[in-house]
Amino acid sequence: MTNYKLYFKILRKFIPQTFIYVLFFILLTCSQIKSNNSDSVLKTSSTIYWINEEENQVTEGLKAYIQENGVAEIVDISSHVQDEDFINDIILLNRKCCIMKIPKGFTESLYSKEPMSVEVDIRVENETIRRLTQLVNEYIQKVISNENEKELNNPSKQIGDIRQDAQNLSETQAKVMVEKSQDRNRLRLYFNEFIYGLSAVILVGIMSVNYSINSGYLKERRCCAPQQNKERWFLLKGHLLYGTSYLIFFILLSLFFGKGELFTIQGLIWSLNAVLLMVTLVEIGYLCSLFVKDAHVQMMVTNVFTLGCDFICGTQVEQEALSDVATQIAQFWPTYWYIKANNLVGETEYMTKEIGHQILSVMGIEILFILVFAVIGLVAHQQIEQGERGEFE
Amino acid sequence: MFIRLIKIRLGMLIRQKEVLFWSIIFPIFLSGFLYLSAMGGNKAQTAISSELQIQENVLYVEKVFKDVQEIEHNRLYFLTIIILMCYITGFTGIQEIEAYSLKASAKAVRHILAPISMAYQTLNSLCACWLFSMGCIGILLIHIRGILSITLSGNIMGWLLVIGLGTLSGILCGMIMGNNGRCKRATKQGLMAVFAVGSCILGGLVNPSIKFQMDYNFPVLSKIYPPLALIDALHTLNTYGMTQRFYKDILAIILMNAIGIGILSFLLRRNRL
Repeated sequence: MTNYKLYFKILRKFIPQTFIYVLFFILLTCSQIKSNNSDSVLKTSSTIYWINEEENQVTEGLKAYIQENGVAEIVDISSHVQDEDFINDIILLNRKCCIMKIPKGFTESLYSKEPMSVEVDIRVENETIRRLTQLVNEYIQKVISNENEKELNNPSKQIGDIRQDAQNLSETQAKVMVEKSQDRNRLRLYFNEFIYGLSAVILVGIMSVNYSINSGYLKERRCCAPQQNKERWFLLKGHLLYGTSYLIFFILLSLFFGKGELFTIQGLIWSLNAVLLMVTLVEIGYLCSLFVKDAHVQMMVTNVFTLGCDFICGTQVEQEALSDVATQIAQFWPTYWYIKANNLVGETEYMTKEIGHQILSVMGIEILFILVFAVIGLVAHQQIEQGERGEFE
Repeated sequence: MFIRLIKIRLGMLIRQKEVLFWSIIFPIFLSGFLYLSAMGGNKAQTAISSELQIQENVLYVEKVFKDVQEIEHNRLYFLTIIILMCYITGFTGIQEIEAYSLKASAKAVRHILAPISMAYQTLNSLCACWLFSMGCIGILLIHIRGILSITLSGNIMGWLLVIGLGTLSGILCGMIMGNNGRCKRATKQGLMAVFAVGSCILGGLVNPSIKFQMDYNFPVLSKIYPPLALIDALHTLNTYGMTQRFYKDILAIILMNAIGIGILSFLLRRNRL
């Protein structure tokens, strides 16, 4: 008990430092969630920037039709048309967006059945362009068929009918599914970002405790204390306790990001995966702490390790978009497999036997990493201890 | 005398392991990681402009041209890292200004007893830190251009102007933060890091679309907030050249730096011994 009291007394001194990392973690997570708010299942674009050169009920109806079918959020930028830099920046800086330009004479060409062009600028070709084409097509067919049926006496009624059709088409169930999928995607991104938050907090905590306890004066006092040398186990248990407490804190924090998704089967698997990550990080922290004897070096190791894992293993950039070199390097690191398992769970609507098998095999690799790091840590500790004993003798 | 003092202070900065790590090694690591993760190798994609051709009620999708390279999108990461480094080197400002505070007693006494005015000493520190930061950013640029082979375009004078003003802004921030006597140095550095990284995240460090969102939703803030204005200046210089937008950004940064110098002199006057 005295040992644990000492352990947590040291940790209390490092709370401001860990708090800064928690703040960073929340900042990074919010920015990730904000910039990747697409539907993970459909992989649709998040925003359509809308330039309307002909404002009338038909074009407004088209806009409403696309919006109500839930393809993406529509932002009207017709007032920025003159600003060339602004238009260029949209394509240059946004990966998941497109600009849709409705030209002058759109309605006239539509009714006279003349060929026309709706210009769409898109950065990366994705599902949105297909869905958008489908929706524009549907809308045009409806407008033309309504005209053919001589129902154009009251255009506002016609547009209203089409919008009503749109609402009928997008069934409530589908909307709920999309919302749920977005919640799940948010939670997936949050759990992926654990790599930064958990590793920073765990490495700082473990290394701080280890170099404080193993500093010369304190070590001498501890060595001559009338108690058995169970330091290795007391430290490991302390580290695990510390890691678990932060893990619980982070999991509770996830309730703000994923709403009720945490209490689904996916949430459970993510939490289990996070436990595996926590154990791995505790072991990596323990291993690092055997070699780090200085507060400055500890800061350097923590920052390089956390940012390295964050960028190379697929947290900031999706694993599919990673370069081949980065993927090859990352495969030798447990965090890559953690994110892979998370992504597998996130992309699954219903758990099938096959997907379950895939997830389990990825988690199995994580367990193998845990065993490897445990063995390396214990062997390194023993070697260092033997070396110190030899010096003493 | 002035140059001699600058030399001494530069020597003191170079001898500090921690400063060297944050100013040289950390940005090299960070840009290396970003290069590995963001420059998707053979998976690079291009921007596509499509036209939905409507002919006799049937819709055709026709790809018209491909011109914007993915590299343009990813270049912003590196521009943001350069500005991040302008602010991270602001740590030196904290250290320099702390030398005058009573907490660093021995150093402070030596500074106070020196037969030169406080303003002269501060100017000296500012120059030394600025030269040091410029050197560090020079190394980072060599790394980005030479080793990572990222093409950075734009007028060299424009680059020097932005980086010079950026490092000045970072050091001023560090000095203003260093003047707060209540916090420990580690806390000040932590706050500076949160400020720098947080600002650069808003400027597109982890995702360039955040920069666009800031420009679109908060146009005034992104013009007057120095880190965002600096990132925008570099982005404009790289993509569109020295246009009116670039000069507007530069003007805003100069104004904010002038305000920073005013605040710093006020704080120094108030805290003088």
